[in-house]
Amino acid sequence: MTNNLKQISKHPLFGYVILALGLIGLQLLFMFTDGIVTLTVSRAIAMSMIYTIAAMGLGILMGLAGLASLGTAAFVGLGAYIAANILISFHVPFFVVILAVTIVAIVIGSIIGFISLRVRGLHLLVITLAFATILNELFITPNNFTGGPSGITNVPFPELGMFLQLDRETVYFLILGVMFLLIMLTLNIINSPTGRAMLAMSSSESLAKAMGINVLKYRVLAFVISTIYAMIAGVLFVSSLTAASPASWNFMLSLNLLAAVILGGSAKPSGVIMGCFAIFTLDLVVLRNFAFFVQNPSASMVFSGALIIIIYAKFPGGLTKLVQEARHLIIKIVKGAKHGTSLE
Amino acid sequence: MASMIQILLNNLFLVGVMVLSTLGITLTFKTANVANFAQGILATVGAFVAAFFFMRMGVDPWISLVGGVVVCFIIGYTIDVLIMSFMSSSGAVGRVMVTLGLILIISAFIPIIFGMIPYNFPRFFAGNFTWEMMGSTFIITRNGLFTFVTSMSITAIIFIALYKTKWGLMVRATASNATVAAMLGINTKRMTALSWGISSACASLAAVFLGAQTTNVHADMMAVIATISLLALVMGGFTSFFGPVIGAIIIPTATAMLAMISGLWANVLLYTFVLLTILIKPMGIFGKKTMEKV
Repeated sequence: MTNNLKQISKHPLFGYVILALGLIGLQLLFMFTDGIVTLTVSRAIAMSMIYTIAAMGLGILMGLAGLASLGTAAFVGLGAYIAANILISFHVPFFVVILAVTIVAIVIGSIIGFISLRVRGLHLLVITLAFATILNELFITPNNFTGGPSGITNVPFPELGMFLQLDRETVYFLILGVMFLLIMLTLNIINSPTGRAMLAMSSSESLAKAMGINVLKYRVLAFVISTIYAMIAGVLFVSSLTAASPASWNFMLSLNLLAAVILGGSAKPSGVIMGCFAIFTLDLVVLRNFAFFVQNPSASMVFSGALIIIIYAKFPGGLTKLVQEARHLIIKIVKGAKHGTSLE
Repeated sequence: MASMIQILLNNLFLVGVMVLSTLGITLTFKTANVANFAQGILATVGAFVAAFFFMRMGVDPWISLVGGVVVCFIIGYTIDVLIMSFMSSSGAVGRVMVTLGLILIISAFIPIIFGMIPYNFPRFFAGNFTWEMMGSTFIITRNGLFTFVTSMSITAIIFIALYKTKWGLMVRATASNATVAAMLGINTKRMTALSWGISSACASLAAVFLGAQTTNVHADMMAVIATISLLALVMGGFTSFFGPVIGAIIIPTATAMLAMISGLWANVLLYTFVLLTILIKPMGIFGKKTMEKV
C-alpha cells in the first residue's frame, strides 16, 4: 500500500494533479461558501492561469528553443479578438473557437518562424517587438473586427458541446482544464524528440545541424507552439472577462510574462507556474490590499522589473533552482537526522 | 508634387526627433554593447522633468529643456555605474533583458512621481514660415524647423566629435574592442557610462522636442519612436554609426509618403517593408557581414 502511494507520488503529473485539485477546491469554496475565498482571489487565480498558459508557450520558446519574443501580449490580444468575434457572431461550441484560433496561430507563427531563421538574439527581439507594434496599431485603429480603442464588450460565455452553457463561475473550470491539458502537452513536448532537438538547437546550432536536425523546422515549430499557447490564452481571457480592450495587451504585459518565465527559471510547467503565480497572483491578491497599490496600479511592475535584473545579475536559474536547492537542503537534514549525525 | 513636399515639411520635426533618438541608441549599442530598449521610457522621464519644471515651478521653457536633459544624463550615467557595470558577464541578450526590466521599473515610477494626467509643454517658437515656390504655397511651423535644424546640428556635432576628437577615438576604440582598449589605457568604464549619459541626454532632447511640437507630454509618447529607432538600428546595420541614422531619416519619411496612399495602413506597410528589408539583408542595409566565431 505504501509502496503504491510512493509510486503514485513519483509520477511526473502528481504535483500538477495536486495543484489542480487545490485550485478546484478554492473555486468550490468560493462558489458554495461565502467569505472564505473572495471574488478577487477567484478572479486573480483565473487570470494567473490564463497568463500561465501564455507564459508556458514563451517558456518553450525561450527555455527550450533558445529564442526570444517580445510579442506575446499582442498574440494574446489577437486570439482574444478572434474569439470575441466568433462568440458574438456564431453559436459554436468552445472547441470550434479553439480550432479556428489555432489555425490562425499556425499561420502567424510560421511567418515569424521563417523571418526568425535569418536573424537571432537582439534582431529577433526587435522584429517581434515590431510585429507586436503592428498588431497593437491594428487593435487601436477603429474597425469592425477589433472595435477600436474601446474594444469589444458583452461577449457571451462559451458553451461546451451542445448542452453545457458556461457562466461567470464555471468558466474557471474551463480555464483550469485547458491549462492542465496544455501542461501535459508541454511536458510531452519537453520529453519528446522534438523537445530534445530544440534543446540541441538552442545550445549550438552548428552542432544540431551536424547531427541532422532540421533547424528551420524546429524554429518554426517553436514559434508556432508559442503563438498557439498565447492565442489560446487570449480565447480564455475573452471567455472569462467577456470583453476585449486594446489596453489589456500592451507591451507591459509582454514584459511581465517575460519576467514570469525568467523568474520561473525553467521551460518546465512547474517553473512557469511558480513564476506566473509569484508575479500575477501576488500582485492581484496581496498588493491590491494596500491603498498605495490601489492608487498606483502600475507600481507593482517595479517588482517584475527588479526581479528580471536581480535574476540576471545574481541568481540565474530563478525559482526552479531555489526550490531544488531547498529540497537538497531538506533531504540532507532529514538524512542527517536519520543517521543520527547532528548538524553542527 | 507640391502636396508631397508639404507632407515632407510637416514631417521634418519627426525626422529630427527620430535621428536624435536613434543616435542615442546607436551610441550605447556601439560603446556599451547594449541594445537599450529602455531608452524610450528614459527619454519620457526627461520630457516629464522638463514639463514639471515648466508647469509646476514656472521655469522658462528653455531652462526646463536643459533641466530635463541634464537629469536624464545623470540617470543614464547612474544606470550604467550602478547596474550595467555588473552585467558584463551576462552576455548581450542578458543585458537587453536588464534594459527590459528597467522599462518596467521606470514606467511604474512615472505615474507615481508625475501623476496620471498628461502635462503640457509650449512650443519654443510660435507661428509658421510661409513661402511661395513654383506656383504653390508651402508652410512649415517655426518650431518644427527649429527642431529639425537643432537635431541635425547636434547629430553633426556628435559625429564630428566621434571622428575628429580624442574622446571620439576612445569611444570608437571601446566600440571595436573593449578589452584591447582597456589594455591601451582607455578608461572603458567611464566611456560606457559617458555614452549611456550622452545617449540618454540625446533621447530626452528628442522627447522634449516631441513634447514641444505636440504641446503634450504623456507616458506613451516615446514608445513608438523608440521601437522605430531600434528598427532603424537593425535596418541601418550595427557596424557603422551612419547606417542607423540614415535608417532613422528614411523611416519617418517613408511613413509620410505611405500615409498619402493609405492613412490607416501606412504604419503597417512600413513595418512590413522594414521586416522584408531585414529578411533580405539581415545585417542591415549598410552593415558588413561579420563572421561568428564558434
